[in-house]
Amino acid sequence: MADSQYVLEMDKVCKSFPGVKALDDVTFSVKRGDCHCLVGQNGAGKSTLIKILAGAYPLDLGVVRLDGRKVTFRSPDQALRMGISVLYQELALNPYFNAVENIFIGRELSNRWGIIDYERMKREAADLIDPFGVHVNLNVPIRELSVAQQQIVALAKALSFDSKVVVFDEPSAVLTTEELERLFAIIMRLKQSGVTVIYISHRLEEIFRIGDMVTVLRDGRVVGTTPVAEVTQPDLVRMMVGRDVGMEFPARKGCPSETYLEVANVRAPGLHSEASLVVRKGEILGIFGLVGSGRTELAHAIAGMSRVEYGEIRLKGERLSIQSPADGIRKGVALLPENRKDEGLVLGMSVAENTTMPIWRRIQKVGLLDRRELRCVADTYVNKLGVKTAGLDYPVRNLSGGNQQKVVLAKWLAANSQVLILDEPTRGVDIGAKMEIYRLVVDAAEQGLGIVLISSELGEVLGLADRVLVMRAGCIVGEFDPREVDQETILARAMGVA
Amino acid sequence: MTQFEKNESVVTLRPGRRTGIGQLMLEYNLYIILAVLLTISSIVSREFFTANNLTNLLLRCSFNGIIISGMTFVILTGGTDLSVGSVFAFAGVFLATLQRGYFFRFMPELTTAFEQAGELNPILPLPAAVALTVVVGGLVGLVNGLLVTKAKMPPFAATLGTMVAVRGLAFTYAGGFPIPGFTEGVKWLGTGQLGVVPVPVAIWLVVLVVVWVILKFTVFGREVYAVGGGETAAHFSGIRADRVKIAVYVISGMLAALAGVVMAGRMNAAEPREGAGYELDAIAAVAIGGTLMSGGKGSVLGTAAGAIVLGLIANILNLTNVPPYPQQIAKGLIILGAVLMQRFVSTR
Repeated sequence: MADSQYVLEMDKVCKSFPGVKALDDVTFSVKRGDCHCLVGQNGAGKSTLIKILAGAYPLDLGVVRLDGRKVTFRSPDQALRMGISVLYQELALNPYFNAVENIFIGRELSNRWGIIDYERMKREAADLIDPFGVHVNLNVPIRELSVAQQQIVALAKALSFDSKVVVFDEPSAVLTTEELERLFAIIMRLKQSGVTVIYISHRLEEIFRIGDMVTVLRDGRVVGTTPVAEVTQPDLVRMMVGRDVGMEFPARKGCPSETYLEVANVRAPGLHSEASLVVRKGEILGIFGLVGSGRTELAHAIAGMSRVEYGEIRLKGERLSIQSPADGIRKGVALLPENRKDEGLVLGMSVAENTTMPIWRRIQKVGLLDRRELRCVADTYVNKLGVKTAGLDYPVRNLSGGNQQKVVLAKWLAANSQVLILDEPTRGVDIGAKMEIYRLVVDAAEQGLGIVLISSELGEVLGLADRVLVMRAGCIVGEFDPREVDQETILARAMGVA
Repeated sequence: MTQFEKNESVVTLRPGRRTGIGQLMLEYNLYIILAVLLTISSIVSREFFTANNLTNLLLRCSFNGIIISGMTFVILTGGTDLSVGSVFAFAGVFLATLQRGYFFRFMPELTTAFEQAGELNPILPLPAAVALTVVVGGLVGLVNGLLVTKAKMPPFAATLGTMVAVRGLAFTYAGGFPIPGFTEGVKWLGTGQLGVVPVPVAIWLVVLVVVWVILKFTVFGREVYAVGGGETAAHFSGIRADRVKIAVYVISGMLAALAGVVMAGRMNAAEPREGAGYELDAIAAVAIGGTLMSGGKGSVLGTAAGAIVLGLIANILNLTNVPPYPQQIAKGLIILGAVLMQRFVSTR
């Protein structure tokens, strides 16, 4: 039996996904009544850890103990009943139900005739919500409430299960400053009433406001756990960055020449200030930013997926008016999207068809698709990029993540793109394929494309890019030379630390 | 409809990549079902394999067959078109008014068929009149397409609206009663023979070949599959997905109108009641034909086979003297059975 001062213990927990070891021998203990913070870069394993706690993923190896007793969660429902509730960023509430219905969904209180006792539910809901000192209208659908009020409803729901541990997954991302203050007050109150809080955030200053302990994760491992009072923000950043694990980046030969793409004072949905940037021929411009920093929105504005509200985009000095991806592609601006499976590829179609999709209209003869030409183009690029496939007619669905991503790259090279925007090109691919993709990106730059590399992996941005822009909260907040800057500085800028 | 969505794994199973009897059976299971039904038919009824009965069977299938050739496009993009039955009826009525010297013929009050029938006074040569009717069907499709893409309505709701409205339009145009009598040319479209082949069947075959070529060999055809298989990815790859979707509804409307013209010629009357429920037969045929209701996979040949399966079912039941109402029960069960069997075979 474990020491009873810990309400929750994870002992040597491992969890793998195909090609990735998401959690590697993680030991993580949380004291009763603490606010325990969890930090780490994207992909460090935070969400996997939380999902294991919440019963959403089974673990491969290791033990989870709750109050000293070993537990195995088979479903989120079970974890909830055992006293662990997780408040995800996207709250799992039914937007069309009101607060009372949401709190008691699936376990409505009824009177002895089996009829729902709405009045009693309402009284109990009010008892749960009132202590927070925030007025919440119980009679309107949840979607008419503010995000903070919705969070309180979610919290009230969590507490109605007598939760021992409440996990907040980046709650501040969607809150205003004032709402955040209220949340902090609520967390304090939770702690006083003996509830343990696990708090995940990208904003380090919050951790120093409310945290008792902090655990840093990196690459699926625990880097360290310390009392918050004994560390500084730069310490944490240093722990999160660590050293690169023997990552070799391909060498660059050519040097960037004339200006290709100019983005001048562009405003678009999701950007909170005007964005300007320049990409030169043969250059790799890195953009580093955390999830929600506006990097994808910027990419979408440039490539025509969303509407530019004002500002100018020029390619080789010519002003572009890009209204749709088709316009962008015609002018030579292409985007490898963040979400390969929904946005990058038509999974049921063949390698050949996916590779040539943007140029179908270019290789038609009197309306008929020139299949020989299509296969010839596809064959060229599939070989050039080393896509491993059973054949050109093989559906891309059956390819591995890395090979799928290569098909997307092949598609844009076959379309003769001049500017290629890569949004998280190595997400969900294994390390070997990553190196190959790096090689291809560098090759493309050497051949004279202008490349924008968006990534939340610091190592790859610094290793590949000629210049690095940092984005935070919808704004470009800095430009760095990767040879003269260290990871800490960039991460600190992206997280808004001093 | 969701039952079809998980069928995706079929996509990976193509003959040539993996061989063997099992794979062939997977790929061609629909045709196997067809063969089984044909065998049953020939056993239960001696009349089945007579030239007369087979021609009749194809003739009965041809109207639905023309409609579903268009519906296939829509369903391949992941949509659906409920307005086809109404467009089918309206086309006949519209052509009937054209043949009586009007472009518009608004009947505020119900009149008897005799009173309103009027003299035949074609204002357009037949090919032009038929073309105009087909264009009007296309316009209904254009409305559907705009509602789905620009107004972002779910296809089911958008085409349900036009289905009801166009049916109302057909009744209003006709004054509530059938308009009897067409010129010889129109009647030939419905009742003529090209050698041993009835004209409606010939029209169906031509439509089938054209649609097959479009889907298989043209850029537009591949775009239809791409949009159905992954709309965002297709859009991000430079395919103008909205235009493709509008085009498929236009095609569906045009073919429904064409089928309506042929039917009007066959009946020698424009019946505003005609074609009610055809949209469901069409969807059933497409589903039996193995096209994914979520889009992206399927073929017009499968759809045609689906239409023949439906026709065969009705034919067998007729030949074995099953009365109409129990026929419906049997038809429903057989549709479920055919689709279930496909699903069972394809997912194993």
